[in-house]
Amino acid sequence: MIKNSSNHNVRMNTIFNSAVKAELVEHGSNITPITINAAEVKELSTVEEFKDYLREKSPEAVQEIEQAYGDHFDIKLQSLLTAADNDVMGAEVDFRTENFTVVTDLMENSDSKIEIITGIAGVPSDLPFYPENAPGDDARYVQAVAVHETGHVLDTNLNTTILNKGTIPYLSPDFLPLMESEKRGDHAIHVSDPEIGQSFEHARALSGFFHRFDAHNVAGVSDDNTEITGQIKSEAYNAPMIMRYLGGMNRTAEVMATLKDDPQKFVDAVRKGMEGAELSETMRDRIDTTLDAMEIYMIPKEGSITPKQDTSNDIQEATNTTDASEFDFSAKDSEMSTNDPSMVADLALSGVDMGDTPSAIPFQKPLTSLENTGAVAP
Amino acid sequence: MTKSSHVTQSLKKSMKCGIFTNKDGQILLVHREEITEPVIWVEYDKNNNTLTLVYDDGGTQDLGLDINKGMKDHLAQGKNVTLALLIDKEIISRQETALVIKLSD
Repeated sequence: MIKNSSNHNVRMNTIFNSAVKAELVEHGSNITPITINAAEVKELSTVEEFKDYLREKSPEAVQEIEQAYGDHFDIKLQSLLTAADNDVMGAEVDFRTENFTVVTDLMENSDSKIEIITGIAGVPSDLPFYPENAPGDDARYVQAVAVHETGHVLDTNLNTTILNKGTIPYLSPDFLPLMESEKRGDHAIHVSDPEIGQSFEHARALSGFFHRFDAHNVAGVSDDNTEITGQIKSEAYNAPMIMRYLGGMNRTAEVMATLKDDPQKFVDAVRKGMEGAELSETMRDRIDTTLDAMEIYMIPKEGSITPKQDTSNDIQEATNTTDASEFDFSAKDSEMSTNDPSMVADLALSGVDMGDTPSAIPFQKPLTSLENTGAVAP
Repeated sequence: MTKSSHVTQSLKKSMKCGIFTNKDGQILLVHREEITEPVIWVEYDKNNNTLTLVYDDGGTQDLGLDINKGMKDHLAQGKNVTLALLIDKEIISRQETALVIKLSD
């Protein structure tokens, strides 16, 4: 039974779980994913309850995991319980063994495009950020997360315990293996859905800029041919500082202030600084990607919203009329559907371009096409 | 006035409303009465051919409006929906929100 889950979450997790299985099958893996639901785990209180929950799904898997992980099994289950309580559990791989792996699906707070991109990019909340500018819908991002996580399952070079250590220090020996695995996961997204793969890469680039100490965040590499070396790691770490120099700014505070007030100004300054600068090809690529990401995600586009704000803030002042001239439904292939016979005429008078003589439109019910109403420009 | 998650009837039944789309991806949802609960996104279900308002408090409300073939094509290309409160002959307020396209169950 799934508790406290919206229809959207249930639907997204259906997509997520299907994508995990499909990805495993596509790669010829015999590993069986034991998919668990973060909302359900949130209802559990103890490690024993958690084990019983897993046993209901697969007693064989629990037995194999217990043998493989020993005491770490209990420790990890306890940490997952805590994570679920804090609403930070989800989209992760645990306990891969020869035949099984545990995959946690998505919580309500991470099952949409906007939430996924926001979570990856980690842009500070006081800076402008428009994740809705990313292409694609929720389902494609959920599928991408599934592909990425399954990439970890398929990554035989990685001990899955590394995945679950949270922030891994820059000097930790686990840093490079995790970057490598993150790269493979992101590469898999590029293969399955290049457009969304590019979105992830841009979000990673922002994350690398703002959180350069964390291997999860600085990965930002999706080219499978790129070997994750100390140089790559070093460049990821140093890129923000180099961008600051290229932009002619002495202090990080100046960078942040510029990004807050005018991200385009920062992007332009760095791009100008890059002209003639001696940069390695990989560093140049990393900075280019980061600047592209800033232009995509930090500069509003037409129709952008700001999800971090209360959406009520996006409702313009109710006492003033608003400009509607940007809307143009005069073309023959524009469409409409309404239960209000006077709406077309009133919209035209409000400033929306509805084509010729809207006040003379003969009303038909239901109206489904402007062309059928005659409310069209010649 | 439409408010809260416990909406049981479609927007079409609760007020005069209409949806307008074009090939450029503009989607304008016009309503004659105030929608007081913030709409966090509009969901388009391609299988069931329905448009649903998803409210901040978790509630949902089907628009109940017919969606023809041309509009389906426009919606499939859409990214955002503008909700506009039309009183008499003036748009009094508007809210930009994302269009979430549901592909399949």
